Amino acid sequence: MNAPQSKLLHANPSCDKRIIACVVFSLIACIGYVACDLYKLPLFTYYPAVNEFVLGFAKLTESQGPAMYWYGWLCTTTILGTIVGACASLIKVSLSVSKFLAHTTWLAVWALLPVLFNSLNYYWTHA
Amino acid sequence: MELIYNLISVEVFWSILLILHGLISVALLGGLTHQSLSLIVKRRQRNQNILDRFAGVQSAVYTNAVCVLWIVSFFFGGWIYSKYRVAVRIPMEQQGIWITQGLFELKEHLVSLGLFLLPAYYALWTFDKDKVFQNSTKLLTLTLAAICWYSFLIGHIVNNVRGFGS
Repeated sequence: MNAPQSKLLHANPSCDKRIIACVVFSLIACIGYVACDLYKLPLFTYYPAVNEFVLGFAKLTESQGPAMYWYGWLCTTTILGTIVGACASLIKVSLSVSKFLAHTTWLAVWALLPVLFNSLNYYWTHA
Repeated sequence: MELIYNLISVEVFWSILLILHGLISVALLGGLTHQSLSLIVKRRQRNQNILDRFAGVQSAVYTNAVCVLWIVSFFFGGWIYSKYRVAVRIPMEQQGIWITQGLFELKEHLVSLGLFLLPAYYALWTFDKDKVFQNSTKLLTLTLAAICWYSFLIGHIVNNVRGFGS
């Protein structure tokens, strides 16, 4: 490798693809999870009292008992995060962008905390 | 499940799961706290006070254990959650214990976010050989530790309200 090429590589170094894939997965999954909660997007609904599954979002019924969406949100989010993370690993990302992305993972949790807190308003106002 | 219920009662089965979930969480809490303190407490010479000794560990060693323990604890927690929805939450609603329920639901959300953070946490600790992402690794670890502490305390409170033996 001649000197100018080496200089160019040093000026714009790229990041390990494994780090990019994992960081993007985490970021998208965290945001996706909250979006699934807010917009009612579970992959399936589970009725624990009767041990039944229904595809997508299903309302609470008297015969089946309480409905659980949490398992469905986890599945929706995992699929979404995996697809976006895999796609992100194909893109060459500079070190500065990947550093920014790595910071957004932990920042996302603290930023989403008030949103999650507000989504549980039912419990705070009921007391 | 029927086979297990023939051997032990339903209450004993769920109590065993709850105790296992609690024990795994204690191990996870210990590992994450060791790792977090080693990142924030300045390394001094050994044989100092107890805090220095607690923080004087090789932080990277805990990464695999934290990931495995979080996943296993999450698995047990997720399993118990279905029972909680029917046998715990409904009586708590009837008793009007709303704040505790809200805090517990927030815990479920946070541990899920923590689970999704694990790939980034693992990758940053394992693949970042040049320590380029040192700051984000540190803050991500501290975030996971905060989630773990909150979850542990709220889980304990809910267990006190209507947990083991209720």
